[in-house]
Parts: sequence; C-alpha cells; structure tokens
Amino acid sequence: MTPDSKLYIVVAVLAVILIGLFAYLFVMDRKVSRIERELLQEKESKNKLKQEG
Amino acid sequence: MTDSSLIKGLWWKLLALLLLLYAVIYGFFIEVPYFEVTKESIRNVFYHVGMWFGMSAMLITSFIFSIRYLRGFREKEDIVAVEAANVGIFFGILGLITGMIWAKSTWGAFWVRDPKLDGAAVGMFIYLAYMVLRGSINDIHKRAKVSAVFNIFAFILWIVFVMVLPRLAGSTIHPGQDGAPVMALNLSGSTRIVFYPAMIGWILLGFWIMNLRIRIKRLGIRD
Repeated sequence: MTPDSKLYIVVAVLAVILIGLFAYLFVMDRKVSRIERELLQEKESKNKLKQEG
Repeated sequence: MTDSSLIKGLWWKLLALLLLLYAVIYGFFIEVPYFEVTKESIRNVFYHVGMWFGMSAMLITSFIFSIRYLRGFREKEDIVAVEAANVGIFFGILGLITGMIWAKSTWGAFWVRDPKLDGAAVGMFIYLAYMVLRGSINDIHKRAKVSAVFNIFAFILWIVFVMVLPRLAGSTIHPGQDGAPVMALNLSGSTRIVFYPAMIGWILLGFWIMNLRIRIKRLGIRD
C-alpha cells in the first residue's frame, strides 16, 4: 500500500462515518436512559402519594 | 458523572466502536493472501462476513429467549426474542446485499445457483415469515406463544439451510464450507488479528441496537 495511492483518504472517510454512526447511537442511548429514569421517578412519586393517601 | 451522561454498559459499547474502527482502518492496510479471483476484494471478509456473524448472534439470542418465554410466559422475554430477530434480519439483509456486490465481481453475477446462497435466502424468508406471523395475531399473549413456537422451528430450519445443507451438497462455490467457516480461505495468521476483533465488534454492535430497541419497546408498556 503506497502512500501516494491515497487509499488512506478512503479509510479516513470510513472512520468518520463509523464514528458518526456510533455517536448517533450514543445520543439515542442517552435519550432512552433519560426517559427511563423519568418514568421510574413518576412511578415512585405515584406510589408515595398512594401510601400517604 | 452528571445524570444525563449516564449510559448503561458504556464499556462494551465503547469496545464495539474501538474494535470496528480498528477493523475498518487496519483492515485496509494489513497484508492479505493473494487470490487471482478476489485480489484486494478479499478484505471483504472483515465486513461482509461480519454481517453473518452479527445475524447468527442475534438469531441465537432470539431462539434462547423464545424457549425462555415458553417456560414462564413473561412478556419481557418475548420482547427480547422479537427485537433480536429484528436486528438479525437487518444484518441478514446487509449480508445478502454485500454478498451480491462481491459475487458480481468474483463470480460474474449478483446471484449464482449455489446451495449456500439459496440456503441463506430461504433462511431470510423463514424469519420474514416469523414477522408476518406476529403481525397477523392481535392478541398479545397468543401472538407471543404462537410466534415463540414458530421461532424455535425457524432457528433449527435456519441452521439446516445455512450450515447443514450447503455442506451436504458439497458443491458450493462459497468458501467457508470445510470445517470452521472462513478457514477455507486459508486466512493467514496476520489476517486473523483483524478478522476476529472485527467479528466481535459487529456482534457487539448488534447487541447494542437490540438493547436500544428492547428498551424503547418497554417504555411503551404500562404496568
């Protein structure tokens, strides 16, 4: 693989795409985690109200 | 760590990224064995074969969770089974498309009459039938039970069509039929240091997408 074949440009493009796709997954994972926590808190506060009432 | 940056199982998700980055970068520069028919396109084994490893991992997961569902009828396990199969089908479609691109240059046609190729196609149809079956039953408990039974048969049939029949036919042009898959390519030791990490990376990526699909589906269930 000679440096002047510019193959490394293609590799760089693929690496950027891969990082981009994974960044997308990370963001989605964080959003789902946040909604999961919110639902859990909602449920806990409802249970508390039930016990008090 | 702030509350919003918390990601469950961060280490293996990062590992998937690192392994695939390594595979995509080093896979282009590593010395590969020379075959007249493939030339540089032999590097596809790091990527095309990864789709089938990913699919296999997902379908095995789906199979295990269908059995577990039938033992206790817990809805959670039905969700894992269906989402694993979903990601498996996704990998399978990518495996077929990438295989067709490679086949065109290697064998001269997008599709050739071959036990391995036809078996993979039939295997895909079996899993598409699983999804159609699920979609046709409205009662969620009945749907889960019927499709779990179907899924167990589907997995066994898939193994037969993809692994057993092509070996029995003995005349497939697709490599990977003698003993362990891909070994027939005579992958040199140096090629394996990209191949195996790449396969683990693709499998982990599959599990991550599956994990997200399961969690999103569970959010919609009120208990």
